[in-house]
Amino acid sequence: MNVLSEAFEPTSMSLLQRARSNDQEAWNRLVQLYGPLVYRWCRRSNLNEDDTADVFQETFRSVSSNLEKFSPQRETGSFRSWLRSIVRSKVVDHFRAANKNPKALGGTDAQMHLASVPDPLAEDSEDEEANDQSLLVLRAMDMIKPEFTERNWIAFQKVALQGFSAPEVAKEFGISDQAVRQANYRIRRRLRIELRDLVEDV
Amino acid sequence: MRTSPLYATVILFRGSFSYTKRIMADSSCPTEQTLKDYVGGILAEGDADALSAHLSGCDTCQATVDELMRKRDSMFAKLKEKGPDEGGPQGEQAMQKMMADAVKLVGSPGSPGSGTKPSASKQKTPNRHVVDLEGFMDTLIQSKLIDEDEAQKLRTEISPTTTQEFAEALVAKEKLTTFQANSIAKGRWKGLVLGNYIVLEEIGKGGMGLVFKARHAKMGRIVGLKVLFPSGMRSPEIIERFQREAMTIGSLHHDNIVVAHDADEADGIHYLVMEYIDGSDLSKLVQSQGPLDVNTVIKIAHQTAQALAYAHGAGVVHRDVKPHNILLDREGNIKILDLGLARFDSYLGVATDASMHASMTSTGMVMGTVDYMSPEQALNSKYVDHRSDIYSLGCTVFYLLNAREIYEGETVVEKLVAHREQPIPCLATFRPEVTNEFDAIFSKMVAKHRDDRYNSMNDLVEDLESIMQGHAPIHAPLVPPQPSSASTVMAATPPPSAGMPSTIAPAPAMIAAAPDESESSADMAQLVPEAARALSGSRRMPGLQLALAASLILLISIGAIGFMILGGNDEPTPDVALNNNGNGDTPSPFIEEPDTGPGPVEPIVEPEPPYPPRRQPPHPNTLAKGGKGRILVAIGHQGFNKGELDEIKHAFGKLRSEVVSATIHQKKAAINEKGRKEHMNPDMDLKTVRVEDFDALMFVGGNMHEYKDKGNQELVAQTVLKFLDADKVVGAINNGDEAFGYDRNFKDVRYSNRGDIQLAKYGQHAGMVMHIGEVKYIWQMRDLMYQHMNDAGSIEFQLGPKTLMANGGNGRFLVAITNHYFDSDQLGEIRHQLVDKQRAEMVVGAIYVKNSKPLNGKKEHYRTPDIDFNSVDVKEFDGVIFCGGKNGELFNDKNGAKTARRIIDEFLAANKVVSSVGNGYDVLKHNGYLNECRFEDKNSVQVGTPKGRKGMLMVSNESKYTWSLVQQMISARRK
Repeated sequence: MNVLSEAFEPTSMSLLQRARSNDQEAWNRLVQLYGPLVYRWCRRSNLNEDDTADVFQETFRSVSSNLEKFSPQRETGSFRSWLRSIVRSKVVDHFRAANKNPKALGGTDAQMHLASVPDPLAEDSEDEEANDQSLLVLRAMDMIKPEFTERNWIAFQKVALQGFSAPEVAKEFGISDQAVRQANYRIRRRLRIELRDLVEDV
Repeated sequence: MRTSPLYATVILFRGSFSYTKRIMADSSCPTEQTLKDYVGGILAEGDADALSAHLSGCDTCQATVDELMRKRDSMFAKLKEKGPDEGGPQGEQAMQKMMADAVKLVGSPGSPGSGTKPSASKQKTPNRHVVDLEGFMDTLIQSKLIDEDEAQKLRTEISPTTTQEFAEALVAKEKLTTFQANSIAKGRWKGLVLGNYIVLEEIGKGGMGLVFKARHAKMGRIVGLKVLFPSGMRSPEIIERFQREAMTIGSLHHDNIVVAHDADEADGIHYLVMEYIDGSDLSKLVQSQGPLDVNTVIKIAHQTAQALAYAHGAGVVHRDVKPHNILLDREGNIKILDLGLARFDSYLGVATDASMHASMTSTGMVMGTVDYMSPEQALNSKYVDHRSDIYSLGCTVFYLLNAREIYEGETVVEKLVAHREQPIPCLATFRPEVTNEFDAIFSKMVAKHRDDRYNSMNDLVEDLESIMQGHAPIHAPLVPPQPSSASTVMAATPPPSAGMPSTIAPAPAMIAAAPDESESSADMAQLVPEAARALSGSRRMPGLQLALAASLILLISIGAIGFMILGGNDEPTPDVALNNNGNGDTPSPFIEEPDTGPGPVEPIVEPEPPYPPRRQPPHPNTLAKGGKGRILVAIGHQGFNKGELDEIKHAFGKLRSEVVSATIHQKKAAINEKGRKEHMNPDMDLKTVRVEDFDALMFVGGNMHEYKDKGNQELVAQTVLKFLDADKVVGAINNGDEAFGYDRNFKDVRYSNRGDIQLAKYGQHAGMVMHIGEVKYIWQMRDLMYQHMNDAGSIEFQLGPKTLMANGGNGRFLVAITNHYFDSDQLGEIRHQLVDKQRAEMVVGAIYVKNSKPLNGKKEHYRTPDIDFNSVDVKEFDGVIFCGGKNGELFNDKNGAKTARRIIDEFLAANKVVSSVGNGYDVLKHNGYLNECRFEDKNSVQVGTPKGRKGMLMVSNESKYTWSLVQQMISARRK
């Protein structure tokens, strides 16, 4: 009997689940995956390089301590929007602190003042979302790439992204059609597991 | 690519959802969806391997797959080429540095050498596929299942070429179990040996962790191990608490409760050692065998109720009664699992309340538990008492009889709403052989309000015993047989059946619910799969016929013609509404189909939803619907504080929540600010508010006259209560609380401060009342509101009166007197000691307060007592003192005794003090609390704890020792 068939399946734990269980490696990946996005958002909020570094750290600090509480269903949306709300509040905190220093406005006045400051992160257009998602998928692809052979990777790119058919690619590499289809399947599967719970449509 | 023998083994290993099974069944090509899933990487690995094998030989499928691959799917469709990174190359560098810093945030915080956390780095990446032979050897040795020398020897002996060969040989030699071999092949060794236990196989998955079958390394004893899901966030206190409580549960011994032997920890993994039960849980049983017969279900319910009654007596509420937690062993005995453990789920990172369930289902950790959850438990797990278990057992009964949940719904929220709002189904509609008596018991078990359920599990046991002996239930009122009016009776969903004969007439005797005592547990034992296989089709027949009968009845009842309920036993058979088309010669109570001639009946298409149409769904902006939140703000039309409304809009607008204003009768509202004579139009009328469309209700300050108007008080109070009952927040700013504070119902709200916000619970209602004195605190209030709404019940604050010791007061005690003669001197002494000396609050209570003026020994009437026993909530008291006098009404009178026992039980269960002065003692004695108690004399007061209970009894035989009694009560509470 094939006792190993079950073992041939990779773990079904997604990156998010692993990160949540305090897995150092998974956390690392999560930072690699979302770092560029957080960085981009910070820069869009007109933060300078130093402030960006602060907000960036604050954001991930908050993520690391609240990750357990995050759940895609409860947060009404993706990990991305959750993360974005954290960035947004950290940016607001930052501006609030900065505003306090020069002029001691208090209570409601300070809030009114803050409200008059445009919030570049408040708008969340669909286009924006699609852009962010592209960034994530590309980033995730970069990250899983080393797990596959060069040939399989290129075969996958050709069929999945460049619109070649499986037999065409198979001929080019001198492998069987099915090997190309399998390569596509395995990489897609891997990507899906990596991004599950993190990106919509996955 | 797999060869065909492997292909076959894959089939063996995949579950019933496997596509391979499907294609094998009709030996044709897989569906297009399967192919799509393959192309998109959705298909599970095992299935994909099988499909890959199929593809190699099937041109048609190859073509389809290639065509599908050409179309980009959603994941890549939007993929654009990487745009220029902001900040250019320097930015990239800076970003890399930031990411490197952020990575250090997790690991061992505080220690400079973070990232060297042993568990994380040492552990093999779980993502790793099958390990190679060397890796397998390493993992095997690490697991300690086989020591190094022997492992090497075995390797030489077997001389395998592949990992798989080696693993298979080890299994064949019984050196490893299949489970162990699989784990090791995946590089997982941790936890295969836990302390003294060798884990043999996985047998289940619970809310908190996995359950394994294991063997004690030295004693050879087989046990069940419940292993908690690992979580780095657990504090040692929580673990300690878990272990302590596990021991309490371990001290319960009942034939129908799975024994918990031990709670232990090895390599940082916490586990519970339990008795191993060779049998099946009821969920699996029903899945494999279909609905159980009524007598069996009654027996199961009876045994389960007995076990739970015992646990309740010991102060343990199960909190998670469901078919998965009830086992049936091979001898036909019921064994309850996980008693009281559900309570720890929330401490251990798995919550029991609804909001968390919704999130847990996504990770697959808790599945379907809401199906058995009482409405009050779904609202807030803090409200759970023994009556919640009764409800869950009722839902379990329904499942066992029908192989489906009592209320069905697409989403968790829908199910929760159904539990609260759907009418209770009539069992006989689904299973005609259910008697009125059993139906009445069932209805009482699953009553929406816990006050309408059985008062105790013992009452339920009594009723079940009654009907098992052929008598009417004692506690559950018999409802008259229900007519098939669409509003009260839900149509049954028949099991799918095709080509059934048009006439069916199972002998009524065969299915009449006359439980036969002589067929004992041995009969139930046959249900366990192995035993069941031996049962021939003869046993299945009635079930099939019943199913057909049920379908026919459905057909009739859809047409609103009527249907019947089979009566049983010595109760008169209820009226049977037959739609007999004059074919009077058949003795069957089942209905001949009216017009169709003989021949196969069309398969019944059942488009009808089994439940009445749903109401309009909640507003999409509400949090429950995944929106950003929707707040209703009530303003006064005679002048309201616009500044406050604006602040609310601002604060909630920041979170992109919607703010809706309302007045009564939708009158134009005047803006009450200096120099402004403006009006604004409110968005809606308070009368038309649907609570489910909002997340919270808030009152702003200003002229609250219209809310205080007598004619409107009821509307306002009802609206507030509806919000609270839906576990939502009702808030007020400034004098906005006059709106609801004016109504006398709300006088009793006692706030406790949390920062600048006052919080309160209102009576037994869920939800939360919040108040802020100044609008500048709206931000804190907003966050607290959202915290409450996102995670119902998570805000911890002290409840109840300020005089409670838990709230920092000097104590609040209930002093019980009686309507006949009570000893007024003693009462005076108690008052002196409690109030004058200890500065505690004293509340005088009695039964039947409404109609009585208690007399003292001098035949003088005492003023009306402060509180009736029936409305006593033990949470609001630190203890109870029974005052001397003629206390017969608290033990001779049936109702009085029951009430007294309830109060005493609740105080003890809440770990509080129950005491008596003088012959108040009689109340304790005659209600049986003294038999189980050994007293110790402490400063002339007898002190003890009844066996198997919590709390404390204190008895002072003479009035003159009241001082000592009161002092000890207070110091006991201080601890």
